[in-house]
Amino acid sequence: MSLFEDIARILPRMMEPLSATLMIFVFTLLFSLPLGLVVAFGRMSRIKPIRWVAQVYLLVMRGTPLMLQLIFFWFGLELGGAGFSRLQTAIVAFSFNYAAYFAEIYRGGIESIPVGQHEAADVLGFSKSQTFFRIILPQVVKKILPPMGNEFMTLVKDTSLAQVIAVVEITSMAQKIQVSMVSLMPIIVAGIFYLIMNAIVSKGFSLAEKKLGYYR
Amino acid sequence: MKRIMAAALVLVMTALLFAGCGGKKNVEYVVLDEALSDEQYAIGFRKEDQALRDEVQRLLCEMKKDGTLAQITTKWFGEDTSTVPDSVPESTATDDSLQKVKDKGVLVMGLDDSFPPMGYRDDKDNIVGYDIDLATEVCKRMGVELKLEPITWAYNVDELNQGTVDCLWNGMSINEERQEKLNLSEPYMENRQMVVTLKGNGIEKVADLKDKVVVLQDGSTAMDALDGREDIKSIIKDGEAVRVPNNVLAMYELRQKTSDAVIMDEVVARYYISHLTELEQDAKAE
Repeated sequence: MSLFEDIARILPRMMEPLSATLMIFVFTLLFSLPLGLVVAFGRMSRIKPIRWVAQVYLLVMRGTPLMLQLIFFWFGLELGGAGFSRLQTAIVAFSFNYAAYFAEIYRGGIESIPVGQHEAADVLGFSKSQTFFRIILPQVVKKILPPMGNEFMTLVKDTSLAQVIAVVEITSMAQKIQVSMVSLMPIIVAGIFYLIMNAIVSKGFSLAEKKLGYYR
Repeated sequence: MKRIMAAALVLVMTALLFAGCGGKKNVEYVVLDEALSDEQYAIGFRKEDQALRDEVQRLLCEMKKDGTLAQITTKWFGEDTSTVPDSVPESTATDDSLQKVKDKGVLVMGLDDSFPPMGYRDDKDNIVGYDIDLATEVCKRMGVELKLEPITWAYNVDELNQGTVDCLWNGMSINEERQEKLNLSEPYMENRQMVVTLKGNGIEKVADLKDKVVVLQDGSTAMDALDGREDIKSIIKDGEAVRVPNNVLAMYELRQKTSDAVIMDEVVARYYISHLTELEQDAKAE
């Protein structure tokens, strides 16, 4: 059996799990990016109880392993019994987890804008929401791109954790093929898949940085 | 971009290296005659699902009587090694578990789809195996469809109790814990925990495992088997086996000589040895 024949046998079987991996990636971002902003506002709120709730949320989500959170959502909350699919449960758990990391990145970005800008906007007659969306946010987006790139790439790799609740994604599929083929090759193929996906993510971020670097 | 290409190239070359070295070592796998422990396979149901359990059991006995069982078993193992009883007393169960499955029209079977030859994925990604063939026939006779649900085996009882699967059927060995938590069928096959080693490792009987590195699949009944043999466990290196995620990795440990022996189910061991030997012969022929 030649190397290329092996790979040709593995590739077609990787397509379905690839779609599961991509679904987790895309939907997690879709839900966690806005949720993270809400949490960030909660964390910066002037109302103490809200700030306190956000802090507990951040501590729990960032302080426990994502793998345990997945197990908790599937077996602890029994989302499976409540009609959620494995993939949906994974997306829910990933979204809550990543929202916590995104929240702190947003907060870092927002707090890095000098207070003077808020005051200036106030003097010029901007409302609070106008100030945030027209003045603060565009600057924040630029500033948080590098740490966001980190999180996106970590998310690509973290999707492999979904196998703990039996979602068939790339890594678990590679292991299943490995068992019937009795070969290590599927694992290497899986590695190349992640590498390609992250090469795309990384390229996307450097393009975005270039595009937003209009004042340089 | 250049750097990415370079990284990809390095990976491919590593892959080539793996493929290259793999076959060149000339090794011969041996299964010791002496078993570490005897155990039996059974099908697991929820404690309260007596009617469903009884019906599956009745159908298995029926299959034994008309020869279907022997036919399937011979197909997978070369001989009829099943241990399904000839008959069982008539069911007196009054619960609605069987009716529920019939109303749904589907029996959901929880399995670990990487456990050849009982249940695994073939080249076209169909889940196949001895247990799959048995369950397919049982479902046909019950008039329902069989749905295969791959689960994380370590959480099999939680999946069952959550209702995501109706039964656990995948070369599941009977042990005390499962007897307590599950409603088990009659044993349908014997299994033994065997020691697999390489010729030339100097291991000819179980007692030769003294000071040897032993590797096994994490969460498998091989662990229970070793725990049950304090006499062996106490003499192996570090008094503890090395645990790896699956049996293929265990076999690789053996071949790379990072360990001296693997403990695994006899049926699985036979499957791997025939496969690995085939692969090595292919590699030599190239």
